[in-house]
Amino acid sequence: MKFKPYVFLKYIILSSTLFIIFCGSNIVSQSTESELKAVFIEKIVSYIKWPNESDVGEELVIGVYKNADFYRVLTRIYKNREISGKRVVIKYLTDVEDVSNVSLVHFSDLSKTELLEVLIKIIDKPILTFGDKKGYSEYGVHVNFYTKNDFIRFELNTESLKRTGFYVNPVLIDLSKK
Amino acid sequence: MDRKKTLLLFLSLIIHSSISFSQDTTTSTSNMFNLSLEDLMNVSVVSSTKTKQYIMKTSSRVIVINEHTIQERGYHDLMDLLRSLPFFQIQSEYGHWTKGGIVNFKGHRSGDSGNNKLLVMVDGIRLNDDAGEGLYMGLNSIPLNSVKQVEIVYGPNSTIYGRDAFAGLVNIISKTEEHANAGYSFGTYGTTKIFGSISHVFDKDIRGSINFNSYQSMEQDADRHSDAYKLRTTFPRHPYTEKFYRASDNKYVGIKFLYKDFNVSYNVFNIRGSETYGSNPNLYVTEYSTAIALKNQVFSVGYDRIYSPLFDISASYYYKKYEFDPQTANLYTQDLNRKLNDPLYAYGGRKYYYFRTISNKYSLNNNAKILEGLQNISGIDFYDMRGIPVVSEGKGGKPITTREQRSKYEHNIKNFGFYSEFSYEFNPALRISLGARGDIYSLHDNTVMPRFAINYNSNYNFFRFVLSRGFISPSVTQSYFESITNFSWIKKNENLLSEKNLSLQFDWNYLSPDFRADLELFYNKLDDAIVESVTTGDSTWVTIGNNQYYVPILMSKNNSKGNRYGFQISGEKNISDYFSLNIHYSLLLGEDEMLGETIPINKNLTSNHVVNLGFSFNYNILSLYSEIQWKSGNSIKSNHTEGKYSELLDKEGYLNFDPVFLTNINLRINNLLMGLVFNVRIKNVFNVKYYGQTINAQWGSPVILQDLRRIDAGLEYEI
Repeated sequence: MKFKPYVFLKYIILSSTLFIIFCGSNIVSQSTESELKAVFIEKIVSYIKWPNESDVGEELVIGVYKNADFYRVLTRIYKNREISGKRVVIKYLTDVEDVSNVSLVHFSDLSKTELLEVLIKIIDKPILTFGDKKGYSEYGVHVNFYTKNDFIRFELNTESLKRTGFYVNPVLIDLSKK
Repeated sequence: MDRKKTLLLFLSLIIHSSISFSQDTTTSTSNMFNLSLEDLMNVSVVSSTKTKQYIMKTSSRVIVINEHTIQERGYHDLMDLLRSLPFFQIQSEYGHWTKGGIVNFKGHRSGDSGNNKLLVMVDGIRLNDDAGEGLYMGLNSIPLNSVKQVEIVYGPNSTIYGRDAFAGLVNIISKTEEHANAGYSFGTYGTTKIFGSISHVFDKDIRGSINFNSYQSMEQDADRHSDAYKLRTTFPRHPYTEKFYRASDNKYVGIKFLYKDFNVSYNVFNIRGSETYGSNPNLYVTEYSTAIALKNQVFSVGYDRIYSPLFDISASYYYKKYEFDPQTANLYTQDLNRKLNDPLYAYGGRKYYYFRTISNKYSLNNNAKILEGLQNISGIDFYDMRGIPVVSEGKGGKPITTREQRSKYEHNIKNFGFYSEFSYEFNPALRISLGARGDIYSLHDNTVMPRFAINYNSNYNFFRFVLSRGFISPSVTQSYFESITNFSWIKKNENLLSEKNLSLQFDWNYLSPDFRADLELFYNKLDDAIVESVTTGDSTWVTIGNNQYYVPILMSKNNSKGNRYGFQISGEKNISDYFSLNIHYSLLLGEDEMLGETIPINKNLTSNHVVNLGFSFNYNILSLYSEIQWKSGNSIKSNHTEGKYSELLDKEGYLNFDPVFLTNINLRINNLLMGLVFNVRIKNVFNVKYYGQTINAQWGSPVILQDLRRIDAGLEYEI
């Protein structure tokens, strides 16, 4: 019995050519870590309840603090998408005073001093805080992203969440430890 | 002619695809939103190495089909799912107890004794029979209504899982997250499906789930539709086969309970189907008329503990019982008039058989990070199996054995396996794995199955090369066969060896949220393949009066070898937030060498070319998935050279099966009212009439009518 490399090769060349025609012009859009984190936010929020229903109105207002790139990503992704049945509004924040007017806020690349300055303003308010830098959780940020072996992970500050009155599904706590 | 058609089909698909693609290339994250949070964290798989790994870093090629895809595409059972994937060619014969979806994966056809080239597991627990009889139930009896994801490993995986992971494996991961669902559907041929599942998280340490599924159908009436059936000249006689029987009544219950690191589960498949493979219609008058019952149960206890980020350990035990119990006799016409001195008197109930296996399996597995970048996965397992091989029971149509008599045919088989695999990550882009497994088998030969893999990635491109081996041990039935001389003599088939598969595989994946492409090339070398069929010469002509019958016996030999090679190329593209498209093409080539004869696989019921195009549209509450599949023709040699069935053969004695073009549609209207979903599924939309085969045409039914159009409509409710 014989292995027939020329037959094999013939089909490979034919189908590869067709495949390149098929997809050649479409290998353009690539995901980024920011996009993945944007999706994480939707998933994580579905496991968390605000202390009172009135804390989040008809719209879920997400503030992105001093990170224009992430703001653009969120704006694009949540253009026609809801979170937990609520329409999403993305706001770009640069002033510490504006942070009090959102239901969820995202921080990244802030110094410790700068972060604490913001957090102290909202420490007891029903505003869910997301961080994106190692160590943020220790300062009181509720949910903090980090990467481990090329995977996105998140940690929860359960003390801080409990103190603010958020209910967290145990499954999320379980997942945060992975 | 075929070549032109193939080319035309390809061109039309490409043109269609190109037009669709040119419309919009907006970046979309729809696919990611369809994943669960846990999926997002890992895109994790557990099947390749018994430990969670990023899918692109496993030592085998793995495809993961998640819950969303299962729902969107209307996959009700495992047969629905696998038949849409590359390299799976599934003969579908609803109503057959095991051939209700018999697998041909990468050109490896399942044996007569069930699906034995593919290991099928639920949450890592093997469903295949441990005494080697294969997966002794149809793929359409394995429901997917409460599944988180299905992981399909391409290529042998015996280095970790031992026997049966010959061509690949399927691991069905059930849902343990909080959820509840229920559904009912009704369709053609009186098909009724009812399912329900509840999974509850009591607190972070305690979870439980229960899952129920029922499938009942009278199935299509082949007596009315099939040309092959119309050729029959002898028909069933009272009382044995008065009524044509091809119904299904499949029930499944799964219960799972998790407490901290412990888990307990019980899965039971209760199946009532039919026996289908008769032979010459004038000989086996009762073909397609025998009712068969199967009850497959697995009780499992497991412990899975992560001691530290560097070390985790799992231990498990399961008890499994497979019982195959005929409900009605299957006789020759002549049996009714046969006398005691007739040489075929005892053989009359050839199809009226019984088998049962019981196994206890203990296993221990650990995963340790030894040094920075160096990981080891090791384990041991031990099986103790007690099996009664297939025992013919018909003498004049009445059971001849009592439970006590059967028990004297029981054989005890033991298997001890141990494995270890090291992986070293030189840097985040490059990983090399090397491992092996040894099996000590009390019945036949011992085996050593190595595996070597290299993974390399660059940005969104992932490359993998794998050298691996797979094996199947001879089944208890292959080991203890019946003799034609007295029909009840069971003797050990001393010289049988395990079937072996050496595989070389390369794959490339391009992954982004909007576009996925992959290419796989493989070469398999097969040694010591076991043949049960009559072409081995293990059959004989028997004369009764003026008639001669070609009677097969169950004697197996390692008298075949061969090779398989091919490639598949596939792509998946999100065109916009509403549309996505997927396509794959696979080429399968190879030969089997048997008794000096070389048979190409397309003359052994394997299509060389398969194209599959899927198109999904999601808008608001509407979800529509349409799939087109084209398979090139194939053929098989038949011994039905005389009589009516010979009209079906060509001049060289081959049965030829034409290329098939099938279209399936699944429509879902989600969230009608508080989670209520309306679903309509149409399979074989254009009611294409086509034929296939399940086992060897030499002595099996020559052609089997495959699925005609089936329409199911139903409601589902999900919380």
